[in-house]
Amino acid sequence: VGARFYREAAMSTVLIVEDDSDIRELMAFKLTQVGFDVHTESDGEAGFAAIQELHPELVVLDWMMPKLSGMEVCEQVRATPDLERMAVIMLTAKGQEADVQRGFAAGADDYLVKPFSPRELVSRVEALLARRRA
Amino acid sequence: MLLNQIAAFALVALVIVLVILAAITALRRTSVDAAQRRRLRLEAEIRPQLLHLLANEDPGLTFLAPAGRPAGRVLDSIATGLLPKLRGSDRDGVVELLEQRGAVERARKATRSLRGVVRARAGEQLGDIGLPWTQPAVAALLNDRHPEVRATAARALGKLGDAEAVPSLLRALDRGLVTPNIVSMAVMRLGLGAIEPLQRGLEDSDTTARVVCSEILGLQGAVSAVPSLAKMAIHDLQLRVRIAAIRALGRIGSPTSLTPLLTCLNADEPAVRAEAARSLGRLGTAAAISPLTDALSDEHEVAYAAAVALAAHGEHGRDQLERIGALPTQAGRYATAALSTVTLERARYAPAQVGATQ
Repeated sequence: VGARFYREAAMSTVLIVEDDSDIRELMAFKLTQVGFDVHTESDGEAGFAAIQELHPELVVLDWMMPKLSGMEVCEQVRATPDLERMAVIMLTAKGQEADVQRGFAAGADDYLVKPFSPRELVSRVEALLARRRA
Repeated sequence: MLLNQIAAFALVALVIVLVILAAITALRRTSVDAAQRRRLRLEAEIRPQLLHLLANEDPGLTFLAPAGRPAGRVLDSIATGLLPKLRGSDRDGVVELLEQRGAVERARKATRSLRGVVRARAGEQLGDIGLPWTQPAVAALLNDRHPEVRATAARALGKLGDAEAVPSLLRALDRGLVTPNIVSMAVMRLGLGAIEPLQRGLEDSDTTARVVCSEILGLQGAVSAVPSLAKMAIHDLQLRVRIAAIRALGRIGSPTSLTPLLTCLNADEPAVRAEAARSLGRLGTAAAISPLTDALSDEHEVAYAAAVALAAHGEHGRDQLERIGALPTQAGRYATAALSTVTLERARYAPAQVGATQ
């Protein structure tokens, strides 16, 4: 991961759907700094609407959100034909084995447990997108 | 005449008092509203600044340290609020900022405040910050006169992650200062470092403390505690300690637990025999199949537990249940019931498993 990645990343759109404003803003700052085009939403319903409109390459979804949970958004994404290739990272406080399993079963590509490290999130986003491009 | 004058004077005095009270209330409300607006304005200024510095991995976080009052108080509150959401070096940066601002020392001193709510908040803050050297101040709150402060302190000790806190937590449990579930949750958070003090806790004179220690050692899979737990499972004078120790042996799942569990399967108390059967089911050793089969003829509680345990023994256990299930005896009825449960459980989980592998 070097300058080439950042040039490519500059083209990538990432959507963050998270109801905690601190976490949302911190992730947005961090990913913008690395060169992503970052958009944010604070609930599942608005998040899914933004996904359909923006077609981001990657979406970071909080599990527990008002209106529509991250799990439900993920399932809807996987059920929508032109969105099924989109990378999804689930971010949640539910760290039990069964929860992780449910997250992956719903179609998440990666899973990050809260409390989280913003640097780790950036690494996971970069790695996931690099694998998709390869 | 005089009476009229006194009444008029009293009325005027009352009106004056009411006007003064109304003015004070209005002034107070205005001042609270103004403080709230000032706080929101400061938050709106400081939060993005702090998040930006964090996102930039900027050691300049510490540039915020000299912020004076009231901006400093707002900064401390935002930074402390971020701590439970972060981990890694970003979290370390926020902790360093709070240390440099003197917030940690202020919270440590606030644990001795005259107001219970301030003491509780200070304990919680120190737990979130997580610096081990603040542990004595938090542990002292376990003796607080307010139960809420004590509960907050126990939770904070769990977050601090220093196993040295185990004896203090067990002492608080002994004295009934904190409830067993709060102590259990706090000790569980301490992780593997707590195993040694928990093993010492197995010799505690308090029954609840021994139960809690046994349960947690079981949940942590502390193989080194098996000899002590085995001794307690057979010899402790308190029934609930014996049951907790037996359960712990099952959870740990060490093959060396087989002999003590088989001894417990022959105990006088049905509750002990039933728990032993359940733990033998968790152990999954072939040597337990025959004694568990015998237990199918025991009292209901034991027979049911033995049947479920046999069903958990894989193919061999289920073969045995099928063989016994064909017999027109009590054991046969329990075996048939357990097999039906297994079939139902399989049907229930089969679609989920298929979904999970897709």
